[in-house]
Amino acid sequence: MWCRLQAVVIKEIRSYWRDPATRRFLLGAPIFQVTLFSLAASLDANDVDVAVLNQDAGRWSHELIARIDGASFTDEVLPTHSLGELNDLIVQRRALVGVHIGADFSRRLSAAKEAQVQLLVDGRRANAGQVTANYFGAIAQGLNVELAAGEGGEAPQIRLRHWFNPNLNYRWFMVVSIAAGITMMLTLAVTALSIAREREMGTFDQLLVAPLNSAEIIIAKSVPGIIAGGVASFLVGLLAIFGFGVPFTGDLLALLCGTLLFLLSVVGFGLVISSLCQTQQQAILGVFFGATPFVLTGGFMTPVENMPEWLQLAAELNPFKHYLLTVQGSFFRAQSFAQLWPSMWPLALLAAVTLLSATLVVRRNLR
Amino acid sequence: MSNRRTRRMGAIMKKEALQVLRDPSSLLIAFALPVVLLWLFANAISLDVDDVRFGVVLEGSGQDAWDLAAAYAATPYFRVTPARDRRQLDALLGAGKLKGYVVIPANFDRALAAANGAAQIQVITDATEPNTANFVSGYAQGVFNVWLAERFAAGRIDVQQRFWYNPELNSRQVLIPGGIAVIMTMVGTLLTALVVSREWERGTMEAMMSTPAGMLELLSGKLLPYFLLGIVANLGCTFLAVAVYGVPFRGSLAALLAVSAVFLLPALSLGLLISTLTKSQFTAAQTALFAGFMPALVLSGYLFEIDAMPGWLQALTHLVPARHYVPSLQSIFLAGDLWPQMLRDMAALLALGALFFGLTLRRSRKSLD
Repeated sequence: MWCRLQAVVIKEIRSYWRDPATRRFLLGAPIFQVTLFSLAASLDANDVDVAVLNQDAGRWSHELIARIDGASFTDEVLPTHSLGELNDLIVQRRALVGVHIGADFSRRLSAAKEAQVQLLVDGRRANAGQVTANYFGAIAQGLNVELAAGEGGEAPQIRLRHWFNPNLNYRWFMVVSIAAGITMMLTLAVTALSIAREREMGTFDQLLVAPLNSAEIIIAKSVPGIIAGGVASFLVGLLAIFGFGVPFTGDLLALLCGTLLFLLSVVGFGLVISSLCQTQQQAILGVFFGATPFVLTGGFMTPVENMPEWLQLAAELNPFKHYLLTVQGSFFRAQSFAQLWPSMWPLALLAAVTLLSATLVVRRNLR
Repeated sequence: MSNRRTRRMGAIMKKEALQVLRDPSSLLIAFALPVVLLWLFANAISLDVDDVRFGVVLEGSGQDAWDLAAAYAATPYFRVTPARDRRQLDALLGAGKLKGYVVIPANFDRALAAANGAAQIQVITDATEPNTANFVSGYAQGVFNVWLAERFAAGRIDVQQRFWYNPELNSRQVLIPGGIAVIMTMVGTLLTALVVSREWERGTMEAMMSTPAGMLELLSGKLLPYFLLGIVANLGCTFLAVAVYGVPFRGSLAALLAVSAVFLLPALSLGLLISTLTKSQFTAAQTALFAGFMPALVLSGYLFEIDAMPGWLQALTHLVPARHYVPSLQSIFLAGDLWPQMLRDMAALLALGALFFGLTLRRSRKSLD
């Protein structure tokens, strides 16, 4: 049995490794993509242009504008002279936000009253708008604390500490998540096309008449995906740690174990798709219909908690979601094997169920 | 001569149209894919943070400390877990069960009452997702400052936010128009890449080349049916966005059709280019995912702000068709027709289309040698 299995595994690996274009693709694409997309994907807001309409001549409005100008997220402060001008800059996308300070701003503050600042945000840019509005809140609050403390008084303070990523480096999260996502897409594509390609070319019948049982066919078909995914994970992992300086605080062995379970579950999904499809084109579509929900509900673009309750429940079937928790736990949270277990057993279960289903579909073909 | 050319192109278009109609997977990409994707974009992608699990550690038992803790519990953004000892919450934070917590120390009341003693509270966040950490610390600071201003009856700056075009700050309304750009990229690029690479793989492309039709006729004849399919998919998406997901439509249908038609030129040409370069379905599909789908998702400015990217990458985004389509779509849905911006975008899209189509033409000529 081992001899048979060995022969068919070697055949499977060769079918990928022989073509230089595929070879280059399997090795080069993950590194290139992780680099490019991690540099691009940030939910932070930088270099924001701010339009300002200041109708107040007092000290507090000057202080507020000086702080806005000095903040790290602002690029340019554009002074305007009328509300119309302010609005126009936002509509034409010249400024992301507009600040309108009324004439009685400083007077009200000096009289210990509430003074309003209008912050007009371009709602078309949802994320950057929200993040910038948040930064403005922080600036205003800094001033408020000083107001509360009064002249010369020492202000009550908030000491802020960010665990697991003290400087809120957005890239860490993105590199790790995108690396996992790219690995998933690659593994899924390699596996899903394997049976469908043989069907399209007519060689699947040869495989069926070979002295192999369905489990052996599935094992052999899993190997290229596991190898491709394993090599890709290894490369992008090195890239994350040494290229992007992402800290690794957890248990390497636990992460390896989680990665293997994840790859097995992805391969399982790929083989189910593949065994049901007659042509490569169908398989590619299957991959796309499978991978997109995995990517979108995995919690990498926006947090899982923001999704509706029922979709969060459905996301339990998403191997990518569990793997992201495993990877984040290993890289950032220094979690041990036992702490990672809650996201590992679903992966094991998904792998078992999908691989078994694929075997059953192939067995039906054998009969 | 030109009459014969029109007839030839007509024949090619008819062949392609029949191929589309008889191939269930093409129709699946053009019609089922947009519906599924739009549904996902509407439900899975959301920037609306609420009900964040947040801890409040109350170490003392003074009146002020109680008051502040109550202020935290009353915020709609937080679902509060109370505790008396921070160690109780550390484990929850480490396991990702809390997004952050605030510590109100035992001496809080005394420090607040003392004339010059600085009262301090501490906010700890789980920064695994930096964006969430930022929101959590922002809200936590906000609650504290509002409370302080009331406690000391001091003057206070109240920032009144107004989000234009999207006053309820429902991120769905913004993300769906952007999502349509991603979907259209998929329909345009994936579909052409797959269909044409299959022709290369099966050798029927060579057969087409041996016909009297020139390369230009052949390629444009191939694109036209998919162009129409793209337009239909676009109208379908728009209808769903407005009728099912309640996105406003403040621009005109003419503007939408104009921008979408121009957008399809580079999107389809990119698919054609990919298939010509790879000639195999496996690599074509992979390349279409990574040169079409991922850039549209990440580099188009639909979710991730382009201004926040490194300079060279900002320059590179100009090669992504969706980058010039997203702003126009967002304006047409949420703001109205902004012709100056739309014309700029359309010029960029035309240039990209010419670039991709020209490259395809050159590569196809070469391969005939």
